[in-house]
Amino acid sequence: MEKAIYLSDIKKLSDTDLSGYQRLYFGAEFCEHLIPKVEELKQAYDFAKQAGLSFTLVTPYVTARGLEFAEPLFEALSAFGDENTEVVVNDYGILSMLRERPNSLKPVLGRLLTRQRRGWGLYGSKREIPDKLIKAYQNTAVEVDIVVDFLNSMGVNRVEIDNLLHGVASDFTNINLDASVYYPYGLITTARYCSWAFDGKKWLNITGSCPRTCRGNLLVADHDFFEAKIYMRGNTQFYKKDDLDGLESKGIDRFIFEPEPPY
Amino acid sequence: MKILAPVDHLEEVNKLIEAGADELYAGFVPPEWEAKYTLVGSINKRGYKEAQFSQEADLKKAVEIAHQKNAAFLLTLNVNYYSEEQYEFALKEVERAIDLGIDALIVTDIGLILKIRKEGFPIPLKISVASGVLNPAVVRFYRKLRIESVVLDRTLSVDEIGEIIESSEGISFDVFVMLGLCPNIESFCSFAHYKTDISGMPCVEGYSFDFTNKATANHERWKNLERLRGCGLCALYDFKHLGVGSLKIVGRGFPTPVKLKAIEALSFLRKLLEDNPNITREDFLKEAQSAHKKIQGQDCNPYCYHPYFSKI
Repeated sequence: MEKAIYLSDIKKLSDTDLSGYQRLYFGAEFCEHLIPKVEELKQAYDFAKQAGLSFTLVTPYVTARGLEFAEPLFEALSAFGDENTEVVVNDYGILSMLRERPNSLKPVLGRLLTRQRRGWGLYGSKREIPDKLIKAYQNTAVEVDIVVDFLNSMGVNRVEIDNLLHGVASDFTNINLDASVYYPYGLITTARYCSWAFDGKKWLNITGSCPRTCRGNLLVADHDFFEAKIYMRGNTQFYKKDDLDGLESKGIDRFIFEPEPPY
Repeated sequence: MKILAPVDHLEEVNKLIEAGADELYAGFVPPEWEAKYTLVGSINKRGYKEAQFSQEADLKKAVEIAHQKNAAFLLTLNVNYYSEEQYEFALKEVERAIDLGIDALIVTDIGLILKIRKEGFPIPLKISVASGVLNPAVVRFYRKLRIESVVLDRTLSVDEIGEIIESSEGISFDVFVMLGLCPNIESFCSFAHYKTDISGMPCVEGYSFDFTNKATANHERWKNLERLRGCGLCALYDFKHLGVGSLKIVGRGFPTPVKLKAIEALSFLRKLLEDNPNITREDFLKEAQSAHKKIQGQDCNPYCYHPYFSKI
């Protein structure tokens, strides 16, 4: 079992105790405006290496502008020449871009692209959800042979998932993909209509000049429909589940600890 | 630019086409699927009966009528993913679609796309909005899977849409213009609101925050979201010049009069652009906002797909 820690805020690096972890995840998973600069990437990479950790860059879904933000990071990562370094992709455009580069970086299929359907677990005891339905929504899009072969052909040998509130049925033991799970925060939804970037008339992140006022802020909400609390970080909402029981026996060989919900 | 409209039952087909729709899209949950996985766990992205053709015979007749009137008919098979067991059903639906003369399938799951291509099924594929196409590189990815057209994410601005179209020759693009605005990115959203009596609309209702600030106030703004009021009419001028393929109306399961009003507004504005190739953008915006008022009975509302153009 490999243990990773995931930081998306460069300011948190120096305050974080890395002991007990073998890998550092760093980057922005849900917003192209928070993709780190090359200098920040180098700082995080050096920090990981000094602590003896492997390094994973996390990337978000992006528009054409985000592709431009990401390209210099891939250039820098390639220059490190570290074949143990990974790039988590949450956008098939980023995956295409990595495949088109001369020095291929190691892509990992992020939790947005494994397509888990997380919503039914949020209700808890507040709604009676039929068992049939729950069972239909405990897997991922990456467990059938034809998809596994396709991903392998794209250089993807690791996929990532959330720890579903209504249970994970996925079993990667006999699947030709390594698997990671994020914890304790699992994704509920993400938006470009970002509440932090709306000026009353338009979304500044979409017009291209996001003020990034979300940074450093976390909102917690109760929801009338759900037993689960909702954690809102920037443009993205999460649930929290601490219990990882049983996941190791399902072939999941990396646990990614999120000290706080990532950006 | 074609008008792509949702259709849910046989009686709508003629009306929608006569109002100006060039393409229709529909859903059908086969009885054997429903028995095994429930209607809420639908074979397409809608889990309620109002958004589905109830009988195969009706679907067959609807396709025939559409073709008689030179309209295309598309079928949705666009859930996030199918399990190995579910592919048996999904591929039967592909065969059924071909037998019925369906013109294209709207799909999301990579596995289904790969299986359709592997089996050599002779049917065009349109990438669903549920696939999250936000940049030209994603289009390059899907192009390798031999897709014919793409529904772009509804949150893209006109400039972002233009960047994708410009660098994606040979692919046809659909953009959302009417109804069905969502606060979140549909492809990455996990909220379950397939059947309102089970799940409600959790993406907009029910939140109470530990404190309030500008962000919570902006989030609360969605609380009264009226999905029937989503509108992007102002952007048609730019869409025409960008080379958009189809103007998509959201709304499987929506009432027929709502769909008809949306089609009529689009049809009117499309004709205006065709008949007046030199119309200025400013003059077109006035016409678009007037058309909005006519169909919605009010000035521009907060549920605007492209607020950069509107008065709000």
